[in-house]
Amino acid sequence: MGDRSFKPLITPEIMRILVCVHQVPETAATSAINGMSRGPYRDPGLTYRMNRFDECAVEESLRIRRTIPGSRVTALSLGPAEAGGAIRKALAMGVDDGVHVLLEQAEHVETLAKATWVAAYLRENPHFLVLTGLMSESGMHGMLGPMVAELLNRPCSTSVIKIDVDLHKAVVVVLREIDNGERELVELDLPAVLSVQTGLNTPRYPTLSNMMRAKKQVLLTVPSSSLDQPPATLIARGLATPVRMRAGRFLKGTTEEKAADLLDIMRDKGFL
Amino acid sequence: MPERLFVIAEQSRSGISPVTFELLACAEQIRRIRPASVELVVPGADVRSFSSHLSQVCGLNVIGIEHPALSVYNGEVYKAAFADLFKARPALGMLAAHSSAAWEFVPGLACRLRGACVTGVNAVARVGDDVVFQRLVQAGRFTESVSPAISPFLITVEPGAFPTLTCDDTSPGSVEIRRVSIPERSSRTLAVLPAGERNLSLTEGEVVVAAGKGIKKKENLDMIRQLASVFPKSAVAGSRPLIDSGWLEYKRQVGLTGAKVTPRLYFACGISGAPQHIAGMRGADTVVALNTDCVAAMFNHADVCIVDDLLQFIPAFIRLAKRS
Repeated sequence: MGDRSFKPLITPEIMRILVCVHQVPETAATSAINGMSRGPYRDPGLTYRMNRFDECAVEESLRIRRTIPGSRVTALSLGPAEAGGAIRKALAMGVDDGVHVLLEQAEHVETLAKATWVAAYLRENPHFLVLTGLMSESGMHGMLGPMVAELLNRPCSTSVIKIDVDLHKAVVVVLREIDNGERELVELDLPAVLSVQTGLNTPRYPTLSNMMRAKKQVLLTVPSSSLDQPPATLIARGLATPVRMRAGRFLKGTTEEKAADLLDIMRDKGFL
Repeated sequence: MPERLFVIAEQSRSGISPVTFELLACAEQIRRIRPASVELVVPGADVRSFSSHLSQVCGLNVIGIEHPALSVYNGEVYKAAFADLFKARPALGMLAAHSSAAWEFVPGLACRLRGACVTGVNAVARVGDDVVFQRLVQAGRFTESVSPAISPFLITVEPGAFPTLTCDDTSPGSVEIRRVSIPERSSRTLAVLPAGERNLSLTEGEVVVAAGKGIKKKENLDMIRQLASVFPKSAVAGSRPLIDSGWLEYKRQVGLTGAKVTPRLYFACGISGAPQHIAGMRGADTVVALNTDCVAAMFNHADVCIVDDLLQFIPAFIRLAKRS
């Protein structure tokens, strides 16, 4: 580790980028879920789409692939059957291969378990770069990238908004967002794990030909039960509606009535 | 063995960063469920004077971790330094502010320590003898509760979620400076770039009218501008998705990664209310939220809630305001 002249990096077999993608429920569709559901959010009526952060990760992987002739991109998703949708979307956007770690149990799966399985895949299938979204819009943990990096003893950078790969020096230079609007320029030895923030690119729409190919392409499906099960570190205690931070008053009536109501409130408070 | 909680103290330009006292308040809530002593930890290149200042102000024991490489944040260096601390001083848990740094190194550190990790904690609760951490999920629509099944537990705490703890014990704690050795690493911080230009009207405006994805089209920003013009001393702002789409300049972004505003009135139009956005406006005096989605998380942070189509509501409001 840390050997800058890591030769196999520039052999064609491992000129590969892994991009982790996640399928999340449409936000508007989740309003029906309530009470002490144990998650993950899997009501039969839900519709799913790719996590927005991951769309940016896929786009970035395709951009990097264009700059490195001969490189390939694999999309990997960990999730129940519907996670296949995120892989198909990635393929439709132009990714080369798809891997689905199929989670069979409906119970909550910890990020540590997911990271363990991604790391296991990477040990068998070396990649020079691993991209994830900064977090999933559903779980909002933002832990997958940092945990995968730790398990493989590779460097990691999060909230990345610019990526420059230099295969000859076996490094990647990234710009990452830190606090209060500041940004940090970091150089990481390859292989490296990066989690990307939105805004670093505009994800493309799938092309028709890629969509046709994505439909037909065979995914490598690995049941999670066939993989090592790391010990549980957390006990899930369910979901609830958040505590209201302000005693919000809902205005009632027609649009005109609500507008008149708001105008009164604005005047009372001296804003107008 | 007495149990111990580490709290990472943050240093700001003017002294102890206020979030440190919020972390202490969170630690206090944990201690009521799992009795433990609290020790402040300060990583840095030269931390002796800040450590002794902390011990005097907070009346707690302080551990300074010193290494020249700790002068700037680096994930690998931080993981090595804290893993070394835990090896020397086993602890029940560690609390860090949910900053870009902690969010990056804490999950990996938890892996290394074979501990549990919870990010973005905004409340502590109790089930039997277990500590329960609460955090927002699903873009802020739900609260998830988890308990650590093993120790140590490493948590990052949402700034602003806990009250500030007042330290009234004035007898200073002990100060211990630990020098650590850091192994060779494979990432290097090359530079820290300052924040871009800020829009003064945003941070100084009395009224901020902010738009989110709910406005659907860039052209509809004109309507937002017209709404803002109804109010004196107002400014137009946007949530991150809008800035990412290039509809508004970066300097008009409100949120964790943009400006933090504290206007008298914050008028949120078509903003879902993800925690990253709330982080930028929670200090507003009065919040009006307008959204078609009656369970948008934004309504949990609003004083006045309007469930309506903004394309209908805003013109109606402007008409009425101008008429009288």
